[in-house]
Amino acid sequence: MILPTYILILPIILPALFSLFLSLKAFENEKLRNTFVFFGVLLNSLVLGLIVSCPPSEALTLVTISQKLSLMLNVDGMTRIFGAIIAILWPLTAIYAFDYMKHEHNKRKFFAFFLLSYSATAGVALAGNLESMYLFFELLTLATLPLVMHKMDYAARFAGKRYLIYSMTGAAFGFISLIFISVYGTTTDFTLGGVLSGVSLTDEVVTMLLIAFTASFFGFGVKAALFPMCAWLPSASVAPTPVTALLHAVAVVKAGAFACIRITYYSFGTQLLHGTFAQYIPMLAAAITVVLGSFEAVRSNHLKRRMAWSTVSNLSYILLGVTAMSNQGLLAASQHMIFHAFIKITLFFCIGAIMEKSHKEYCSEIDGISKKMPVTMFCFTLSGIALMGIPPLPAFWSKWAIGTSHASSGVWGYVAIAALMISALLTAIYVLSISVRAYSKVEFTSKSDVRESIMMNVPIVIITVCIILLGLFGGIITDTVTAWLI
Amino acid sequence: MNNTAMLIATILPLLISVLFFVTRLKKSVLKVLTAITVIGTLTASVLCAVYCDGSLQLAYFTDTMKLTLSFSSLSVFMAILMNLVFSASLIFAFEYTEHDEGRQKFFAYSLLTLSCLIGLCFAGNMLTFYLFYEAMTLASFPLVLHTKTEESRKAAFKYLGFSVFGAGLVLFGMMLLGNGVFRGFTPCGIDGIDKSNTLAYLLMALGFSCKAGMFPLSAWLPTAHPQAPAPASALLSGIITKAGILGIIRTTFFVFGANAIIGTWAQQTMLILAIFTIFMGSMLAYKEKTFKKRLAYSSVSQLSYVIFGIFLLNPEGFMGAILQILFHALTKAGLFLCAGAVIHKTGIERTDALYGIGKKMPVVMACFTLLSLSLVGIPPLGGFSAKWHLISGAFENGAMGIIGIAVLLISALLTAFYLLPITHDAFFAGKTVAREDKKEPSLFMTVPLIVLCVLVLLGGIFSGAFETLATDIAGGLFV
Amino acid sequence: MLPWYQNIPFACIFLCMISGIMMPLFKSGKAAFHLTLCVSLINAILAGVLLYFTAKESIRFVYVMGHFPAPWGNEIAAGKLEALLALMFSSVMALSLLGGKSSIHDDILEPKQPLYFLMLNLLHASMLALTYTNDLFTGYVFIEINTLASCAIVMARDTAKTIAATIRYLVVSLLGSGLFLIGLVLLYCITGHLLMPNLQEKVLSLVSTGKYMEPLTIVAGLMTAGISVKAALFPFHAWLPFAHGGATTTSSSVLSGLVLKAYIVLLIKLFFSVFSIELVSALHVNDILFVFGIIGMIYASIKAIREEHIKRMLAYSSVAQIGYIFMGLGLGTKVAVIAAIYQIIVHAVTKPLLFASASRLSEVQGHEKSLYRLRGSARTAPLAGIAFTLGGLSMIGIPLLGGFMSKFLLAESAVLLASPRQWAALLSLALSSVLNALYYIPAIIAIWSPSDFMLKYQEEGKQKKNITYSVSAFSFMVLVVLTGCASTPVSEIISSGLSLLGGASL
Repeated sequence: MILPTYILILPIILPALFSLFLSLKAFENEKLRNTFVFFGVLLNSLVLGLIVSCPPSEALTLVTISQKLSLMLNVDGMTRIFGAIIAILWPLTAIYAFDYMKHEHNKRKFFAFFLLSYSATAGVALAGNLESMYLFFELLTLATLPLVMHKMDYAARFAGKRYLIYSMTGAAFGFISLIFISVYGTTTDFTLGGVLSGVSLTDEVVTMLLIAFTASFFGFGVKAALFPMCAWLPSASVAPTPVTALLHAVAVVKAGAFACIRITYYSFGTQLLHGTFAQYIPMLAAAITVVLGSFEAVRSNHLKRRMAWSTVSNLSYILLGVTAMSNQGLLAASQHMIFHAFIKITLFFCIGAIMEKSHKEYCSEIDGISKKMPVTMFCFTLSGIALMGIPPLPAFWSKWAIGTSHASSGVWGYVAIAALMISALLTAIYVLSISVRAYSKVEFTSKSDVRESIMMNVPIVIITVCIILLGLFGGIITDTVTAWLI
Repeated sequence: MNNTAMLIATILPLLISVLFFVTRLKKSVLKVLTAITVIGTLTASVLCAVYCDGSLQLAYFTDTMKLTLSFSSLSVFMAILMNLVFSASLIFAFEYTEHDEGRQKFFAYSLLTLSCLIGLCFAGNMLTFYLFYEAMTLASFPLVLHTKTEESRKAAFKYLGFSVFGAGLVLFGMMLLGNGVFRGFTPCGIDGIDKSNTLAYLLMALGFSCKAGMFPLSAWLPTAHPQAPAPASALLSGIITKAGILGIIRTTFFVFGANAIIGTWAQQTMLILAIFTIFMGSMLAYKEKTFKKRLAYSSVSQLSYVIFGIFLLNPEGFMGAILQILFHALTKAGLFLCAGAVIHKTGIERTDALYGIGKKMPVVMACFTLLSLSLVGIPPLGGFSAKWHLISGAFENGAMGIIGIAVLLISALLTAFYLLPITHDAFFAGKTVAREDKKEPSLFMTVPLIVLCVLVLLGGIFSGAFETLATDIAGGLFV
Repeated sequence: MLPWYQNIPFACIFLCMISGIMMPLFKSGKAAFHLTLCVSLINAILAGVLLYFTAKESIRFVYVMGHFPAPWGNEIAAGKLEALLALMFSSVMALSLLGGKSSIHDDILEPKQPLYFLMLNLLHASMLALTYTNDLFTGYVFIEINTLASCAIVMARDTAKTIAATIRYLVVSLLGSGLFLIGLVLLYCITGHLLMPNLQEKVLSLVSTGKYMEPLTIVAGLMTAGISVKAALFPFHAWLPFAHGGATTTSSSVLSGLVLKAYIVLLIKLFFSVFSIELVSALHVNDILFVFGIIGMIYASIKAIREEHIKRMLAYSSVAQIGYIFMGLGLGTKVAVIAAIYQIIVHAVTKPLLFASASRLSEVQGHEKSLYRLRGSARTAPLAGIAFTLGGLSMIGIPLLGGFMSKFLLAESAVLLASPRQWAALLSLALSSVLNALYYIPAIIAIWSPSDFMLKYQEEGKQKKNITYSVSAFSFMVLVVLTGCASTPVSEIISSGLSLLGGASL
């Protein structure tokens, strides 16, 4: 089936319209509002899913800004991968959020920006050239800022401010890549292999381009919590858990990694970058982040912060795959993007359920909670084991792919692999220590009645099953991803 | 069709353990089910020896990555051995966990571990092996944690930490070799991988040696083994450590091939480390006063006998290694079970407080004595033939071998010094005890012990048969 | 016989002057307002027509004033660049009048209002004159008129603070004028000419002989310095926040958006029509502009972050944006100057929007001025809120809006330079964007967050309708988006127009 090109604008417009409607009309009935929001999210996911499975053959140019720049939407392999992830996970998060936000204030504002973030993320995925991606990237920051600051207490404002500063700085440096590509590249459109290959460049210019790339990698890498700009992510965990789960485990941070993939493989091109300092400096930073993130996760006693640091670490797994600067690396990075999204969202959901139902926030307070919340803890433990990289659960495949893509990178490759191994050890510790506490014999005491809720459990179980399936059918996933990308 | 016996041996304990996780059963039902399972798995493994050949694919991921079980004399040998020790330990555990509320979970995790171990033995390639290896760590972790005290928590995390680190080293090595390392095990090395990558090899060997308690990654063993309940310690020392050994064997002979390793600095390094561990383990055992910890250090030392034998990289040494695996598993398991019986009945945990215990529990201590003699290496008990072959293999190796022999002899001496005094204290000290005051444990505990002793005795007397078995296994590995 | 459209430049200037002179005849502000508005609109239309014709023919004509030919007489020159700029000046003037109408009536005493419009008309006239003039001394004359008129419009709002601010402005501005005059006189002494084409010929021939290099440098330096002082380049910006911040809305808009730019336009003409851009680079005059431009960009933004008073915050933002323009000029290539001119246009349409919206928000919330007390005002006046948000986003540099395009062009011109200077430019652009975000986004969040102040004033605020503001805001928003999305025609006009300015090169 051939889809018309204008369908590409739908995943961006639809949620925005729903969001606008929601902000103008106040729904008195909460159930009605939730249904409305869910309908919007589901509809958009279906459209996006449709686009991902049968992509239109041509790009859609919305606005021609100038001779060189235009706002363009297009579907290629990376779009399909990222699009598939967000299409599947957004509705599940919505279901989860309905229950979670029951006792919060300002739900209308929350869901309006929730929808708007979907719109922006879809835009990042669908962007066909660098300036379009940059636009949606900025819009994503703006759309998610109110979500981070939702609680509007001191901690939330501080986190929001930090988020803003980091994100804007990152985007400003990412902007540099746009300039250089538009000046020296043949086009700003995303092309696998980069747009600089046919161009004759002097050594001086090459050095400039490498510096520009490194600066932009770190710029877009801010959103992916690359060292040294990782501190914003743990502070942003003051946001309500659905926000943290989806946005900071899936959408926002993956958008950062996605952008790094785009500039590496689709704008600058690995031919130019491979073997230069522009490869090794980001690789080293990613390796440091992998270890640092895991280490801080072990040190954090607060449940959500621990998971946030875990995200920091895992994102740099993706970036390690990216910095291998080979087709293998691209495949590995994409695989981990998919697998980590599913695993981390489950972990956050479980943590969120625990925190919401028991009002406990710290690891040391949840002794014995497995009796009250058995399903949640089982799914948590399973996802945690998946995170550790135990076969046949999915993260093993992606970790293996990342590691082998670095086997030929020389000494720095060894550093990268060693970082992965150290992180695996630390992951085992920070995940299992939670499980051990939860399963301990101690009687769990709390003031409120701790009970699992269906609305929260259903998404958790669904995604856990997905994780198992992803692991068992890892081969099929790998093949599909390979086919889409190359 | 014939190969399903392997599958049954692997899956049966898994299924029963899942049952144990989700339901609450009465004590008697639990015991019966466990007994059936372990006997059943043992039978299945024995049947494998008779009926199986070739391999069975469990799962397909990509062209190079498949999960397969494959039959070989090595795998069935290890499987049957593990089953024997498991059966003995779990039946022993029936009485040991008489008053333990968490017994259902204990059996569940034990059976899960058994499942992983059998899968590991029958694994047909490195991917399957690694999968079961990691799973086994996770399944045995709660066993160490069982008593839920603060020390057991620390010990469990230490175990976990070292194990994951070791597995990480293995993974590192595998990553350096690429996808080819996951092809099926081939006796003289897999075609298509870079066999000259000694670094990768060493990483894998060291990684596996962590589980086998070799220096420098042995520190977890003396902490974890004592903390676990005695049946679990028996399993840990007796067979879980053998998983690491099997890993080394698989890597050395079936992934790289002996020819790739002979003469390299990797071989030298491993020999040196093994020799050092043999000595260190025995020394520390001698100085240690806590009963179970002494046995744990003893394991550290004895396991490095095996590693030493492997890295001599000649048929004699390999034979010695196989025999040592066999007899150490049986012996150490038995020793731990004896210690367990003592602790269970009297609560005594230190070796300098065992005066007259033999008079209270004569059967247990008699078994202990027999097993000790085997460990020291007194003929005609099994341990002797193992050490004999190790020494003769070492002669062929040159300087390293000679040093090894010296250390082996010293270690044997030390072994005598740390085990025999216990027997002496037990029988030849303390007051005589009247019949009513005897604290002999029930049959559930004594029978397994006796069975193990008998096996060790028979193994020693009929060592010829086992030597043939070992030669059979070694065949094809050294061309 | 002259084509009729060649009369337009002079006609526009003359029209403004006539209407200004007529102001004292009016008794009420209303009539004066309407006349001024009409004149602005007519001028805008005429400028548009001129643009059409000059673009079509792609010529630059000279219009002799009086009967004395060059080099003794006076001249006006107009090409598409000047027409475009004139269009900008007039239309922004008109829209600023609309946007600030209600404030004029609130801030200025009834009898004084006609005088205020007189000053506005004079200002309009002088800006057009500066754009069109081909004679440097005429330029100086109108600089002075510009200064005095702009001081007057600041002072129109009769408070102690604004009077103090005006005096400050006056002093600094006159200092600038003085420097310019000295430079001008020296140039006259050296070359003996005042008309730009003749000057350029003479200057270039002097340079080729190699004599008078130091005097030329001094001249260039003095004139540049003089204009920079008046255009609020760091460190001569201190007067601006208080002057713009305290004035009535129309004045703030016109000052920030237009007045400062008029001086810069003259500077650009100086660079291209008198010296040549290559000569300017060779004399290293632009280096000073580059450095101070960058410092201004950063410093002003930092001050803006601390500022609680909304109009002063916008004023500091203006200083930062002027810094962008000077940085562009400082890069010293033609491409960079094109980018700088683009920024002039973008800022001219964005800043008045922001000022007008801030004023409207303040209007519905009891005339509060601090951001803290303006919280939630956007909910009472949504159009103003949206307009402010759009303007803010443009300043931050979100694509599809004008601010992004001007930043992009500036960055591109820096990269094309292919020298280490580009890194300084790129880094400061990056830093400045972040800083911009740091004060605009909190402001945007503030105006949309509900608060007690909002509730207090909501009832009466909703009653206050302001059609003129709505028209003005809407038009400005369209312009902001147009400059963001349809930049190619504009930049082409600038580019070819600029080529016509310069005569022979070095």
